[in-house]
Amino acid sequence: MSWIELEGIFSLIGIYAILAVSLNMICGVTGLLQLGHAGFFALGAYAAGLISIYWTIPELGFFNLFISMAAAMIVAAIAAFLIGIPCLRLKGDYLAIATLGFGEIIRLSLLNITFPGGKMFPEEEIGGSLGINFTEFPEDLWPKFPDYSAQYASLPVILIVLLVTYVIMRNIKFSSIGRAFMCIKEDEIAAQAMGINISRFKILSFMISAAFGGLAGALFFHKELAVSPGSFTLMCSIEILLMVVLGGLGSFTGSIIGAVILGVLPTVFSYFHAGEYKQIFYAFMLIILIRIAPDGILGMNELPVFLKKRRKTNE
Amino acid sequence: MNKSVTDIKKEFKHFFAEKISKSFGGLKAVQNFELELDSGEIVGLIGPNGAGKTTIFNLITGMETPDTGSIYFNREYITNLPPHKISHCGIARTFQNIRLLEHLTVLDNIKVAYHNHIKYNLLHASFRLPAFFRTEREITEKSMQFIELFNLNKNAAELASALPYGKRRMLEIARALATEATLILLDEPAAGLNPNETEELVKLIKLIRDKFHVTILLIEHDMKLVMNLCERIIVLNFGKMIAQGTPLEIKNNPAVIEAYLGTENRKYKNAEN
Repeated sequence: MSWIELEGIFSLIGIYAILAVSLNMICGVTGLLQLGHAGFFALGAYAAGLISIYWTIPELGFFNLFISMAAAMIVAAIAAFLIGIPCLRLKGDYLAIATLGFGEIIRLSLLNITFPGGKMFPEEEIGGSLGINFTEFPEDLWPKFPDYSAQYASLPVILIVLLVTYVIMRNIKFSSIGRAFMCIKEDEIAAQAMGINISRFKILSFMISAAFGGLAGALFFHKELAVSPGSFTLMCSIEILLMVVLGGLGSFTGSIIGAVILGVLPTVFSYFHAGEYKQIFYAFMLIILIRIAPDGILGMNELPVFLKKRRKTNE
Repeated sequence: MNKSVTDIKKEFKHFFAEKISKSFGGLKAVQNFELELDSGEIVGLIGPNGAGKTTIFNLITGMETPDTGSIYFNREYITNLPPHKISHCGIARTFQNIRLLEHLTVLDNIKVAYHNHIKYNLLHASFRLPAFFRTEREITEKSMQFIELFNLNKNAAELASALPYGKRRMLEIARALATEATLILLDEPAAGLNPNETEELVKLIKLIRDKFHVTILLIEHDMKLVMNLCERIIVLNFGKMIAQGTPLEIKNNPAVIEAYLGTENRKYKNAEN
């Protein structure tokens, strides 16, 4: 297997790890089942794509990525705010169904909306079922940058963003805000009695989760340089949720482990020419997981703490 | 300028509930209930099962909204406020069926109660700015004080779900107190405790009152505890207040005896005489 192939696989795993970590904020820490995370992923990717087409500043070079990431996070967070106000009044299964619906609404809207092509594609429209395809900057537009490629999100960049996301999420979890989220998960009535404004904190959690989902979308766009609505189906949301559940609801370290396991598996299967058995293996893995470790691999613990605890119980 | 007695009470009483009523469908859970509390009092709320005691707690803490009537606390009109705002005003409560955060440690359970007093925001928390460490250190110190006061030091790092029943009750009271409330509502604090633990609880509640100058309103079925602890007792039956007074007055009040033991008993006694 060549390095380029491996880099592609690991970049995708990194992006999925960011998605899993961000989904864990709402599903694991705050305890609200969210089945529409692919919607925010898509919004982030589209926001990054459109920003790149309309407002790329060639002089900034690599730093265009940061503009894209910021825009993606803001768009996803605003969408989460608007969706969150009606949705988060619901509980349990109803919330899951409503978010699933909104995820599909986002995908189907993107399937049907077309955007003007900007200065990059002056004659055509972009969007629709083909999505945004953005292979290289046309050289005649920016003659000063002849071998200019917009694939900013290389593997190291993705891993650094993953690390930053993980650290921020972990910091939030172990702060008063994280405690308020966990309090909502454990007992909403007790949370209210402690003075926690539950609807506000639910929306905050939803927005944080969506913003980092959007961030993953921006990285996805700058890695693949092409997005289409086909990559943001319900299966995508469920796959992210599977990573979260596998790693442990409430454990960000676990989410990364889950993303690595579920990300490497398809490659392993295709290496042995057994790609068609992948789904069967997933199902078996879920059954075994629920039998052996219903809380996921790490439960609610983060990795160093988890190791410390293990040592204590062994003594 | 003439002021009615209720107006004066609204302004000067620590807590004043004026004619609150609540019904669930056809059931009148609370009818024209009046309650006034002075700062630093320990008041017991007793009554047979289903008398509406917990409903009154829910009405005071905003978990239910009263159909009629109004509630004042520290001169503020708190009727119809959502529970978290009432908590901000300084009313904390415990629950009949203990509501701890089972998957958090004992220390974190108490730290949650400081939610109203956190001085940092999301930005401070995400990037671990100095304000975060300062506030966290402060609330950890305060929480440890409560943990020591309630004899939970050995369990501080344990999960709340691992605590024995008596300590869970203590932890819930500690948590209510840690919100720095000035009025604390205890819903059956002694339920399920053994006699030793109950005795400790009585001492502890008195200590809390003296040390933190809080007002305590408690629901309890353990008459010994109520008579020992409370300075004033309010008796409720079918959502109506039937008596109020000192423990001695309540003990000898015929209406109270009737509510608890029924009229049959008196007839039986009369026949005997």
